[in-house]
Amino acid sequence: MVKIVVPHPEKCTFCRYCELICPYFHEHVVNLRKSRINVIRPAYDLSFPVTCTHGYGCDKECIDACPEGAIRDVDGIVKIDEDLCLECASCVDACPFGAIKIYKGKAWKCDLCGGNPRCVAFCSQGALTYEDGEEADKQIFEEMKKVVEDWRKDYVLQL
Amino acid sequence: MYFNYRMLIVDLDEKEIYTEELSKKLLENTLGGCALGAALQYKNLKPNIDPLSGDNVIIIAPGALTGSLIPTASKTAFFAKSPLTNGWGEAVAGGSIGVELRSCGYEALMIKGKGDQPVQIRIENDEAGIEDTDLWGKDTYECSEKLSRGGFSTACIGIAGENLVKIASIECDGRQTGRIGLGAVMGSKRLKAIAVKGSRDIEMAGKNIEGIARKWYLNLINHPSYKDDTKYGSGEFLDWMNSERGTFPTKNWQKSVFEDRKEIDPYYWAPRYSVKNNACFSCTKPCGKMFTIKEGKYAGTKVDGPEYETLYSLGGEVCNSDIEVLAKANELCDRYGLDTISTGVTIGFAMELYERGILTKEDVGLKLNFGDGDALLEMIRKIAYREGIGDTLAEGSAQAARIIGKNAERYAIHVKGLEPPAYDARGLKGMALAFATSPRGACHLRSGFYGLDLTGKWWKFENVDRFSTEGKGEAVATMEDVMSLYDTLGVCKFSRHVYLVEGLPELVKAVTGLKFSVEELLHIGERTNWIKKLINLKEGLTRKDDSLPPRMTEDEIKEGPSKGSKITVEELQIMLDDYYAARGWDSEGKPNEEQVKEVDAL
Repeated sequence: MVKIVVPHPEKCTFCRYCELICPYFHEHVVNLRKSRINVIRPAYDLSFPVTCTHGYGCDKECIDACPEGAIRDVDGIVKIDEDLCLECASCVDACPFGAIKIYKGKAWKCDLCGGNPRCVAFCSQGALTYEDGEEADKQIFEEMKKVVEDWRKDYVLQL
Repeated sequence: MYFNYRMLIVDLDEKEIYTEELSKKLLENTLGGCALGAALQYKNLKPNIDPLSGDNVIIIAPGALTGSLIPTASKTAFFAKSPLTNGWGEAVAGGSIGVELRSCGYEALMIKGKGDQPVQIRIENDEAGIEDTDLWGKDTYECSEKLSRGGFSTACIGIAGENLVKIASIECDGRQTGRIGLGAVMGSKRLKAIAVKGSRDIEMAGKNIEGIARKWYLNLINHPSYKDDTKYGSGEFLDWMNSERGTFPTKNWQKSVFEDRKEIDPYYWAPRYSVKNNACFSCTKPCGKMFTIKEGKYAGTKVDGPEYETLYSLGGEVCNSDIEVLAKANELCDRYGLDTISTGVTIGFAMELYERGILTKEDVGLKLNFGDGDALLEMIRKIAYREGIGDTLAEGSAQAARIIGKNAERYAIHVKGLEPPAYDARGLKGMALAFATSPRGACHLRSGFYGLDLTGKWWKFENVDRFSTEGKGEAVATMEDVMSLYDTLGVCKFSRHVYLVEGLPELVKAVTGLKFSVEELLHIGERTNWIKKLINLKEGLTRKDDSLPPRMTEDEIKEGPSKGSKITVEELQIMLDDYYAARGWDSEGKPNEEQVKEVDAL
């Protein structure tokens, strides 16, 4: 069993607090561009938190895509070894969720904050949950793929 | 280093963009938001200019804590001379443009001059440009949807702002700077939209901001008001306001209880129509409702609202008891970029003129009785497009009354030209004074005094008697300073019962590293109110403008729990004397020499 961050867009208020706390936890700064979770708003009444599912709803395409072997599965959690990363962005293209970015010389992706994801801790509406990926509603991952596909050329890749 | 010691200036006349240094002294004395904007306008805005000319100056300043981790701190203040009041102009909204400006490395954005054709401004860190826009003529939903692509935060106007409607708002990522017609100022500059995206790190002074953020996050969500505030939004107390206080202005303030309120009460409509909550940026206490109509005449209506003031202005004020019409009216106002309060009150005013025969069917082009939903929707459209009678009403009720003549001014409800929000000041005497003294005209958010009058207590105030004039002068002055401080810091006033004043020094220190006592912070709010007053004096406003409309001073409340109450001119004058004295101003409301000196030294 691997617990992951699961989005529930029907509860998301577009407050984007997750995008504030994520970079603060990892980098001790506020910088929306450095967030490993992004809330996208493809329509007036839809806001969708997008982040890595660690293989649920995808085939961990990033691992195979990385020519340097910098991305690995560690006990079910997909991790990037930044020392090996050459910023080729193959993983960015491969990820169906647009959940990896290459930005300022680094690959950015959810690492679950070591087991206490701050985005979940600060989500007052339960729009993000930390739960067993097996138990999560698979339909959500499909929706996320679709939303991201329409949106990513404008949003994710231009960060 | 938290502050960016510079401001970005966009000159639409010269088509130039440059930065100007903001001194350490200025920022440490004003912190940001409202206090900074006021200081900058004091220096930069020439008095007696035409607010719809290139001489007007727009300043946008994020609150001091906007872009920090403090929950709800997203507020960004917009300033310009108001075309509605011809005086001090400020309006605050909760989008994400503030955090993006700070991420670009600016403490403020100033826009001068006027485009010769429709333009938009795009800012990305040090890159900023004035671009031709193809969004002119588009509504705000479409405009922000298109412009936000690529991760930009936006501020844009709708058709109303383009048409220089003096009650036009600016849309900020689904939130609005509603009041005083700043949308028309953007329109006069031919400026359709501003898009901002920054990628600089915002570094806060304290080491454990997450711990402080956590504490305030828990304070917010564990507060007893959290459940109802998020379930029903700001209209949560609408029924209580009618049945227990009798101070819900109705039928152009001819009544103070709206009997047909069943459907407009959020306890009725939220479970039926709200599909989810909406929040301002960084707010973990979402008060917005995503109102969605799925079938029937208004199928397809989607609007973030209606919040309390809109339930009054497009509901009780115009005797509209149909919540679907109200939501549709709210959506139209948002799409056209119209202030819902001023729009509804102005239409309510026109409805009274129609029923009194001062306006006829020929004047209006349709029957305009109270409670006519179709007429309400059509009038909103006419105002946005300045069509027929809409062209007159687009001037706001004060100016429209002057144009219409025939004693119409007797029925226009406004202070300094701004239409009031949903607090019947005749039964809330502190609020009455606060309407009169508010530097931007009849406003509940310059003082928040309705809360004290309605509940009898808040913060250090106890046993406030809403029918008494006693002690109101000093109390209103203090509350104005508190509220200016919130607008300076950028935290949400709807959460002020959580962010009590004593807690603010901790937040300021953690984020900026600057140590302030409660008194010192309140002094920033106080000095900001001196500046607003000084600007109004320069514009030629006098004690006579700190007044109330005849409906509040001459017509008493006819029914309900506040029956028989009114605020006489004499009562207002006594409270005004007390208020000026509490501020250290002379009997004409002029700040004293030391205060002027302190402001000049900023």
